[in-house]
Order: sequence, then structure tokens, then C-alpha cells
Amino acid sequence: MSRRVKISSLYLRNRPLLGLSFFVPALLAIPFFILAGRGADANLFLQILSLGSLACGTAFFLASSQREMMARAFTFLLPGFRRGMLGQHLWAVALLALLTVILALVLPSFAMLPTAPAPLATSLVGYMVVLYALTVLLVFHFPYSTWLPFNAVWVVWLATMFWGKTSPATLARLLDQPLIWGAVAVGCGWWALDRLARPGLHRRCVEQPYLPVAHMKNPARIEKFKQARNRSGKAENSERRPGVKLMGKVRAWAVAQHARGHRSRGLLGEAIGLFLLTSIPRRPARGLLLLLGVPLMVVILGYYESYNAALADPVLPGYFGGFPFMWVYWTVQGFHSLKNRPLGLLHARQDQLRAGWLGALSVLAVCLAGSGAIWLMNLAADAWLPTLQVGSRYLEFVMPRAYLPWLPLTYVPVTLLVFSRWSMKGSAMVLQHTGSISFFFFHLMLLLGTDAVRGAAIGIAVGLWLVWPWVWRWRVYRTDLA
Amino acid sequence: MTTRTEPIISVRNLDKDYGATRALGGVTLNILPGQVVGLLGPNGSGKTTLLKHIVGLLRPTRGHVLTCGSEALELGGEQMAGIGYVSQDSELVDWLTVGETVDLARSHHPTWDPELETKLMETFALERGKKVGGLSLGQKQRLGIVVGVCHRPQLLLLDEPAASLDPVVRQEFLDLLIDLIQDGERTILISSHILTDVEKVVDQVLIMDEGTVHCFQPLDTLREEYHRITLTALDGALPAEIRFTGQKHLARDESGAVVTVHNPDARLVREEAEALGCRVGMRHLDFEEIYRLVVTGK
Repeated sequence: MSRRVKISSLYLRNRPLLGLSFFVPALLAIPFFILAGRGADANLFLQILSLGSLACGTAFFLASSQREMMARAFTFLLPGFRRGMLGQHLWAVALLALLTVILALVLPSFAMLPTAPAPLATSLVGYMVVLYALTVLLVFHFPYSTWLPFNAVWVVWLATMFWGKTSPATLARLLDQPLIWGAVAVGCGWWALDRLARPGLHRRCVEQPYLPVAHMKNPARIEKFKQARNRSGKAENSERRPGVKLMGKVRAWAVAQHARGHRSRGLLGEAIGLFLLTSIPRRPARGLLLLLGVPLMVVILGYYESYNAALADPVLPGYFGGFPFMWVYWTVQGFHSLKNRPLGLLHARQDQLRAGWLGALSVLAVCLAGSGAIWLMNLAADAWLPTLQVGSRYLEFVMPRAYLPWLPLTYVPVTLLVFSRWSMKGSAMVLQHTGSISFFFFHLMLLLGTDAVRGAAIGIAVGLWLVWPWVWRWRVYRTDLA
Repeated sequence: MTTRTEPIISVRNLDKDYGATRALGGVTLNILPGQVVGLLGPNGSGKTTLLKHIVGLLRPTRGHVLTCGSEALELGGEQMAGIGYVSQDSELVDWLTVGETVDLARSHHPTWDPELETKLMETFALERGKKVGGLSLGQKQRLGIVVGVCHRPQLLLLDEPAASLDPVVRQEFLDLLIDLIQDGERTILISSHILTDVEKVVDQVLIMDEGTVHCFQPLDTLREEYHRITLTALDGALPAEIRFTGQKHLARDESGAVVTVHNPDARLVREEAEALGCRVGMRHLDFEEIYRLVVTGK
């Protein structure tokens, strides 16, 4: 037999985009090196978090490359293919463990801990192995695992926000448990290895549609993937979702009305028609989740604001009240942007600019309506919810700050611009990700910034509003009518 | 020819459901080493699903599949090394080059035949530097054949391997198959809609429809069993009722009739025809006619 071809080398040669995605989590390790240079003053939590990012990034890179290959039936019958995969993971874990041990012994911030070097290194290696194994399992079992590294930023950000100030003493207590870390690592490692070695996982990878990282910028591929996934879902589960039949009929009627009337209706009528059409939820379960989830978030985060404000060193006061708004914007705004796109295509070129404005305004109207509804929920919660006693603390419901209804004005044009640029037919997912980033950006600027910063944020938004219809018109004309 | 009687493929009461759709229902069959079986049936009859179960790519809803003596779901490396599978849609990795795909397959198969590889790469005019994703369907199918057969597997499963090949390459592929069959030890299961090709290489025929096995027997026996009788009325008109022993299908007009019969006795047929007052002609059905008869009853 000739020398075994390394899957990872094939990958690095052919799939630079996946290599790039590996660096998204791996980049999070940069603070580690910066902080490590600061010696004993370095933030130990961030160093440990960065090590974890490195483990997750490596696991993601290897497991994703393997999953892409396992998705093809060709590899299923290659004898020793899965053994080769296991070997690669063992090598990667061994290198990571070696790096961890060296750093644990060398870095002054770790040396300052009261934990002895051997238990410390064991615990850290255990922690790395646990993260590595769980990431590998997540990649192989989660259909949307392609997006994991791009969402890792938020996980790290939230972890830093909540636990960034954990004292070295607390961390030392956690790391002084080598037996527990070792046992959990052996358990997780064995679980991952066992899953990887079995043909069942390979079979599942062949059967389950998978979107490779390199296809994330290709609308046609994403559309194909979603169709395959829907087909696969239907095949696996023949049970109808409750309410789908009725909603399907309502939607079919609306679509028929829309198709029949679009030639005779004016632009405004068209915009209103599309607005109504897109307001009928396609999946009642999601609509129900929004209906129940938003009030629940309003209540929980209103109390959390009170808890946060009472802390000696509160984290971003006033920030959490904005989360229900963000959740609604992610879902509703992305969906409406997508569905309003045909507006320009149905009309003559001279009307496309007006169509762009109307489409954008209808999206904005939906977001503002959502904001208004959440605001009313907050008012009701503020009026009716009692003061809670948790231990020795008293928690009162806290209203979100008054800037929040302004958020859609700043947030919507960013997403619309990205949407115009990418024209992601059939896929609102990238939109939602972009939307969340722009939301955080403006949210923080309006919440934490000085008057000048807030003014700049609003200025940027106004500029984007003015630019957007032109960009949109140019894109529609160039990509769809040419 | 081998004298082993233990089947290389054994399927027992195999059912496969996709949600509410039944793809396979109660399939039971044994394939012996050295047999070359043509797997036939209309689209959606369950041929690909059956092949995928045999290589362990699908989990049965009910029933068992034994391949090379092991549960197909748990095939080990040794068994896999002896199996070649060329799938219908050439499920290769798009972003690899042709050369990398072949290298990957070669490096995993201890029995790889480099001479056969060189010969096939030349015959199929495959360029090593080209990306698989950029190949046409026919070229992908050629590459699928290269990586599926160059390790000279003992069990070769071909799922419509020639569907996208042009006539010249198809003929070359058939020559290759005949070459692989020569040693008599190799078991081949070939699914195809091109009956003229299947007829040239197989010795057993397995016809499926709607997820069930309609017929599984040697091709020669099948040919022997079905006859077409042509009746011509001697006095200008056929009797109202025409009935022959083993009659499967009847097509008639005023003065003549064509009757398809199963396992006819030539002497009995002549007697029955004489009793009807008809002149009789008799011939074997060709393969395509047999297939149509088994699947549609006509």
C-alpha cells in the first residue's frame, strides 16, 4: 500500500476558506499570548479561555474537514479511513496537551497559583481534552456546525463578560481537581473516539445533508443544502407539525392573491401586499416560540438588570434590557428583508428606487411595531410584576432604557446593505448573523457612548439609509435583470 | 468456478421505510460468490436502496443484510477492502483533483492494481490535475469506476455505472467488466437500465419493482421460460376465447393473436392451437420483452 494520504493536507491545499475559519476561533488565542507577556499580572481566566479557543479551533478544523469527506459515499468503503481520522485527532490532542503542559509550567501567572505543577497541568490538559472532544462531537452531529466558529465570538465574549473577573483563588480551587478533570476528559475523549470509530457516524454523515464552509458564500449551494435538508427532514419525520396545514392554506391563498394582483396593483399596494404576505408565519412553531419566548425574556432580563445593577462592579448596566429587541429583530427583520426583495423586480426600472424605499420602510415598520410591542410588554411587566426576594437580595423589574426603540433606525440599514451586497436568495441566516453584529455595535454605541459617539452612530445610520436604496437598485439591476 | 455455497450476500426480510414511503418490502435473496447479477427495475423500484444496504450505507427498518459473512452495518476494514462500489451519482469529493481522489483511494487499498489504474486513466481520458467538481457527469462516472474497481474487489457493486457514459466509453467499460469477470471468482451486482449491456455480462437477473423482488433467476433459464406464440386463423376468424397453458398475456385482432406464455410445452401448444383452428409460430422472447413482461405484465 502506498503512503497514506493525509486528509488534513488535502484540505489545506484545496480548502483555504476552511483554514481561514479555523483561524476565527484560533485568533481568540491572541489575547493569551499578549496577556502571557504581562507575566503575573495577566488575567488568568482569559489565558485559560484562550487555550480553550485553541483546542476548539483545532477540533473544528480537523472535524469539519473530515465531515466534508465523510459526507461522500466514496469514503465510506475506504478501509482504514476512520482509523486515519482517529489518528489525526490523537496527534492534535497530543500536541495541544504538550503545549498546555509547557505553558502551565512556564508561565508566571500559572506559577503563582498555589496548585502544584502536576495537578495543574493534569487539570488543564483535561480541560483542553473535554473541549476538544465536545467540539468534535458537535461538529459531527449538529447540521449547522459550519457556523460554529463564527458564533464562537459571542460565546467567548459572554464568557469574558460574566467570568472575566474571576479571582485566581477561585480558578486555583477549580484547577486543583486533577482527578475530576482527568475522569471527565477520559469519559469525553472515549465517547468521541468511540463515536468516530463506528460506521454509524459515517453512515449518518453520508445521509445527512451538510453545508461545507466553502459554500457559505454561494447562495445556490446554500439553497440546495436547505432543500436537501428539508427533504431529509420530511423523510425522517413523517409527522406533520401542528397547524401547518391551516397556515399552508392561508399562505397559498396569499401567494395566489399576490401573483394574480401584482400587475394591476400600484407600487404602494404591492408593498402592502408583500408586507401582509410576509407577516403570515410559515412555521407556526417558530411564531409560537417568538410569542412565548419574548415575554419570558422580557421578564427574566428585567429582573437580571436589577441583579446586575446591585453588583459592586456591574457589567454593562442597562444592556440586558435590549436582548428581547435583538431577538425579534434577528428573526423578523432578516425574514422581511428577504421577502421584500422581489418588490423591485416586479416593477419598471424607474420605479425600482421607490420600490427600494418602500421595501426598506416596510421592514422598518415591522421592526418598529415589534419594538412597540416589546415596549408595551415591559410597561405591563413594570406595572404588575412584584419585587422578588432571592436569598438576601431584593430584585425589582427594571425597564429597558429609552434609547431602545431607536435601535431599528440604526440597525436596519446595515443589514439591508449587506443583504443588497450578497443577495442571499433563500437564506436569511447570513443576514441574521450580520444583523446581530450590527445590533451589538449600535446597541453599545447608544448605551455606553458619550453624546458625540451617539451622534456619530445616528449619523452613520442616516448615511446608510440614504445610500442603501441606490446600492440595492444597482444590485437588483445588475444581478437580476441583466 | 468456485464450489463454495455460502452466499456472499444474504438479504433476509429486508424492509426500508423513508417516513411514510416504503422503499423496500420483505426483500429476501442470496447471491453466491462468482455470480454476476443484473439488478433491473423501473426508477424508484428500490435498486439503489438495496445496493446501499448491501454495503452498509443504509440502516434497515427491519431485517438483516449479511455481506461477506458479516452484518453489513458492521463491516470491518478487511471486508471493505474486498468491496468495490460505484454509485449512481458518483459521490466523490468535489474539491479534490482527479489525481488526489485516485491517490486517496490507492493509499487505502492494499490490493490496488497500478497497471489497471494507468490503463483506465488512459482509456477514460482522465486528467489528474482537474478538479472533480469541474468534471462532467460522464467524467465523474469514469472516475467513480476507476476508484471503485482498481483494487480488484471480490464483490463489485455497480449502480447504473454506464448511465452517463458515451457509447464508445460504455463499450470500453463493458470490456473491462468482461475482463474482471474472466477469473470467475468475482461477484458482481450491476444495476442498469441499459438492458443490452446487462445481457452481455450477467448470468443472473434480479428484477425489482415497488421495493419487492419480482424475479431472481439465471438469465438463460429466464430466456428458456418465456415464449411468444403467434396465432393465425386458418378460416379467417379467431375464436372468441383463446387460452393456453401458462398464458401470461394476449394481444389479438380479427385474424391473428400474439400470446406470451410461461414454460410452454411445444407439443401441447401445437395441440391447443390446432383445437382453436389456428396456425402457430413460436419463438423465445428477447431480454427486453421478458423484462417488460415481468415488470408490466404485458
